[in-house]
Order: sequence, then structure tokens, then C-alpha cells
Amino acid sequence: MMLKKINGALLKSNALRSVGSLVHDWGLAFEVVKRSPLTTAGLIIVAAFTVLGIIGPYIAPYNPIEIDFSTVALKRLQPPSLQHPFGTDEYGRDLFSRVLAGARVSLMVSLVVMSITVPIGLVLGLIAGYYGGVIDEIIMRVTDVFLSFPGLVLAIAFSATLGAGLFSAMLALSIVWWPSYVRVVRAQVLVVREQLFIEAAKAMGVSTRRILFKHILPNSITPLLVLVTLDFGSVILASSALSFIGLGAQPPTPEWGRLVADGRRWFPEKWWYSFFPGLAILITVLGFNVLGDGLRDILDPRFRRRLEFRGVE
Amino acid sequence: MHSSTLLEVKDLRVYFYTYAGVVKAVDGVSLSVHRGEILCIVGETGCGKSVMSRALTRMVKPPGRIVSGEVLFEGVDLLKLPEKELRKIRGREISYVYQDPGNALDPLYTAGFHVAETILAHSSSAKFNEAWGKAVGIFREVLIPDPEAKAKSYPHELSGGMKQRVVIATAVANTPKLIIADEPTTALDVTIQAQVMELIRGLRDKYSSSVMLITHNLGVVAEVCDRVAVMYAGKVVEEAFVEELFTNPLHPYTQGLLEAVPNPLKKIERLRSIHGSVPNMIDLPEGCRFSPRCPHAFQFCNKEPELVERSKGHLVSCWLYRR
Repeated sequence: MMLKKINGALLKSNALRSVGSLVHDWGLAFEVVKRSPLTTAGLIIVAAFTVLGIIGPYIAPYNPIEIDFSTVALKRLQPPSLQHPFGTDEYGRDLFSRVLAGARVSLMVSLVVMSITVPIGLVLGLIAGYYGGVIDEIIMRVTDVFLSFPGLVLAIAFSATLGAGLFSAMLALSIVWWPSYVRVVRAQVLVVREQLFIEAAKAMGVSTRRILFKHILPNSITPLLVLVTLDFGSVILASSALSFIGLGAQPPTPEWGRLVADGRRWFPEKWWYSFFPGLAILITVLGFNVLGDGLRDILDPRFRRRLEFRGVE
Repeated sequence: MHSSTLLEVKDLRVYFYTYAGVVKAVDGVSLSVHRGEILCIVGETGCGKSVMSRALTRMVKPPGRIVSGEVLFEGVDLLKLPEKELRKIRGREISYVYQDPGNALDPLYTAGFHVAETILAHSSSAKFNEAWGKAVGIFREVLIPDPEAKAKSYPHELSGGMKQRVVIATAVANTPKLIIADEPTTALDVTIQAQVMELIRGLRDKYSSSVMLITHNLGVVAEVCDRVAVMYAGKVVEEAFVEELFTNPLHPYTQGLLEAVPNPLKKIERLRSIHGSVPNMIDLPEGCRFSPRCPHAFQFCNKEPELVERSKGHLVSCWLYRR
């Protein structure tokens, strides 16, 4: 009942209409999530990560950045305890609070990178796929150039050129990330534009712009949605890698990759310093991957049919 | 130009430039559609009838190209019209009904949305809600039961016959002057076929639109058409009023087609079939294209015959009638 209501509300809102109708049957989607414990786990992890990213700094038991110089000697590099579940770092700061605050940094980085790269990928992919010819050739050869380098190496190169810092890391990751989205969108557009309903829309006098954005785009977006979910984890991993080698977030920003790198000095005696930030990265990335896989199943009509055969309604 | 002529096609040629060679899918088609009539285009698969119909509003996809010809719609040559002007004709003056209703509707939108979109595409002032209201009205006219609910249904929730009614509803949404129906009943089962044909004829009477009906079903032709054009290998070989064509077929190909259909009044052991198969469209036979399969072929047939009027309204392109 509740789902029906949500579904109705989603379908009514214009912005969500196309995405809402991508999943024709929300009840069935819910069923898939329920039946696949991995997807559920992924969904919970991603939800928790998002919530912690938003409210993390406010619920952190200690200040994640400020150093209390009066207690540094006493509190530095404490092992996990009830007071400090993740232990403390060499300045006596609570690692649990720093990891919590780090969620926000990772969330921000991945959101910024996605909000830059996804629109670029969508627009260029649509143009390349729909118009073809010389425009297609130009766009695709440029993406080929970018994709011919290993992504992380290219990101390191850009990041180093732009100077260390979170902002340049985000920019570098964006530069590296968009070409794969162009490819995915273009490939899908090539399939969709040959469909009869696109020709039918044209034959009914619907304008090219409307055909592109109202018919081709919503029909091409499914693989991108899955890829973006999977890539959220990859972006977090890549930004952590950049921070780990000193290019991304700078101290005292509590970035997970940075925390792992800082703790390396004390490893393995003070194992908790690197261990807990590393665990946070692991769980978050895993969560996004598992959710992406589940999402692919939900949005794949073949999978839906298989479930319907089994009598799920 | 005849005053009751709505559409006149003159020497239309559409070629497909493929790696294997130039496919002359439509090679010099001339025909006309009068106001308020149902003109049937009959021919075998691959004779160019669908391509010809799409070329009328320049809907031919690459590698196909309209090489030459004129398509005069109310005196205006559509082939010379700029794309922007042509868009105003598509869906408002000339609209299409497709063979496969399952793929002619965008799976992400409701049935009503398709009709509303067609209305909005040709009206700058109308609001979506108004268009939706009109769409429901049109659904009622194309005899969709429970139109309000069906308008909110997605294509996959509708049956094949219902989908074809939705496609027809989008086609008549702006009361076009010409509806081009490309084998509209091929994908439907027989009981639905009759209903859909009846519907198309009813709508023609109601809106006094003309219909160009493409089919290979001679039963449908006899049932609903006013005039018939028979196509063979990219050309019109015979054009006549429907009774005339069935009682007095002139072209050997038309005669062969009619003999290949069982006649319930005659008891025969075997149906006659036309020998051979449709010619290779890249390497067409010289002269009359039907001559290699024609039982009456003689020395004249190595030259191409022209379409000439034999009796009032009955045109044929065959040397047999020019001696």
C-alpha cells in the first residue's frame, strides 16, 4: 500500500516520471531487493554511508580536526577502547570521529565527480550516438585518447600538475572519468535510435530535441545508472588512492586514504590507525558494488521475467 | 492536376547505396491518392511498398536516398520542403500506422501520452492536460473500452490489438488528410484484423481522410479498398478501381497474384503459383522486370513498358496491351 503511494507520487512528479517508469513495478523491485540479501546489504551500507556523510560530523563524539594540546601526550596512539572505539592518532584525536568525518569528504568527492562527469557523458554520448558521422568520430577519438591511459595514472598526472589538494583531486578524477560514460551512453543510444518508436515519433512530427531528451535519453539511461552506482565506489577508492600518495586531501582533512597513509608510519604496532579507515573504504566500496549488481538485476527486463516465471508478483 | 487529387507521386526513385551495390527499392513510382479514398498498395515482400510510403515524408533512413521524383501534396512538393516545414506536415497532414504496434510505442510512456504528444507537437498553445483530455476522447473514438484507464496504461500492459488502436489513435489525433497504414494488421490475429480494418474505414468516413493502405492480403484489398495499385520490383505495374481489378486483371503479375489465392466458388486441385521469385533488386532484369517470370513474355519485353491508361482509371504497364 505504502509502495503504491510512493510509486504514485513518483510518477506524478515530472522530473521523476522517466526514472519512475524505468522500474515499471516497484513492488517487484522491492521483492528483488528482499530476495537478494547481498543487494539489501549493499543498500543498507550505501544508505548508512550517505546518512553518516551528511550528519557524521555532528554526531562525532570528539572534534575530528582540532588537537587538544593539553592531553596529546596522554591520549596519543591509544588502542581501541570503549572511550575511543577506533583508538586515537598520534595527536590524541579520536579516530572514530575522524573516520565519521571522512565519510563526508568521500561523499562530497564522489558526488562532485559524478555531477561533473555524468552530464558530460550524457550529452556527448547522446550527440555522438544520435547524429553519428563526423561529430561522432571526433567525440569518440577524444575519449579513445583518454581511455588509452590507465585511469589512476592519468588522474595522478593531472592531480600532480594541478597541485595537491582535494579540489584538484576532484578535478583530476572528473577529467579521467567522463569518457567511459560517453561510451556507455553512445552504445545504448545506437541501439535505441533504431527502434520503431523513435521513427514513429519522428513521423508524428515530434521535434528532434524532444525525441532526444524524452525518448532516446530515458530509454538509454539504465546501463548508465548501474555503472554510476558501481563507480561511486571506484571514485571513493581512487580519491583515497590519491590522498594516500599525498596528492588529494591535505591534513588536517580527515580523508580515509590519507588516514591509512598517516597510520602506515606506526604499522603494525598501532594497527588500528590504518585498519579502521581502511575498513571504512572497504565496506563502502563493497556496498556500492553489491548495490550496483543488484540494481542491474532489477533494471534488467530478462531478470524481471525470470522472477515473474517463478510466480513473484 | 485533378481537383480531387490529394497526393500525387511522380517518378519517385529511392535507392539504397549498400556495399553489395545500389538497391533500387523504388524505381520510378507514379501514383495518385484522391480525397477520401482508400488506396491499396499491393505487392510481394520486398517490392518497395514500405520504402515508397516512407519516402513520401522523407522518412527514408541512410543508406537509403531519395534520388529523384516529386511528391505533390495539395500541390506542394514535399521532397523540396525544408525539414522544419516538413515536420509540421508529419503527424498533422500525413500520419502513419505501423505494421508492428508492439514496437511503435515508447515502452516508458503511457498510451495516452503518445496521443497527447502528437497533439502537442502541432499546437504551441495547448497544455498537457488539455491534450490528455483530447487523447481520451480519441481513445473513445477508436473504440478502446474504458478509455480513461487505458490511457494511463503502459504499452506492455495492453494487448496487440489494443496497442494497434493506440497507434491508430496517435495517427488520427490531428485529423490528418492522409493516413498511411503499412500492413496494419499483419501482426494481429484474424479476428482483430477485421475489427482494425473496420475501424480504419470508419475513421475515413468520419474525418473524410484519405488512406493509403499497404498490404499483401488480397482479402483486405477486396474488402475495404476503393482503388488498388499493384507494385512489382519497385514499380507500379497496374492501377485500377477495385472491382475492375478483380474482374478484369490486365497485368500477368496481377493475374498470377489473383490465381494464387483460393477462390471459395471454384473447386480446384492446386493453387497456381507464380514461377520464379522476386528479382534481385541490385541486378534487375532488363526491360520489363516481370518478363523472366511471365508466361506471356515475347520479344517486346526486353524494353521497359510504360504505365498507360487502358480504360477509364485502369492503368497497366505491359506490352501485351500496346500491340
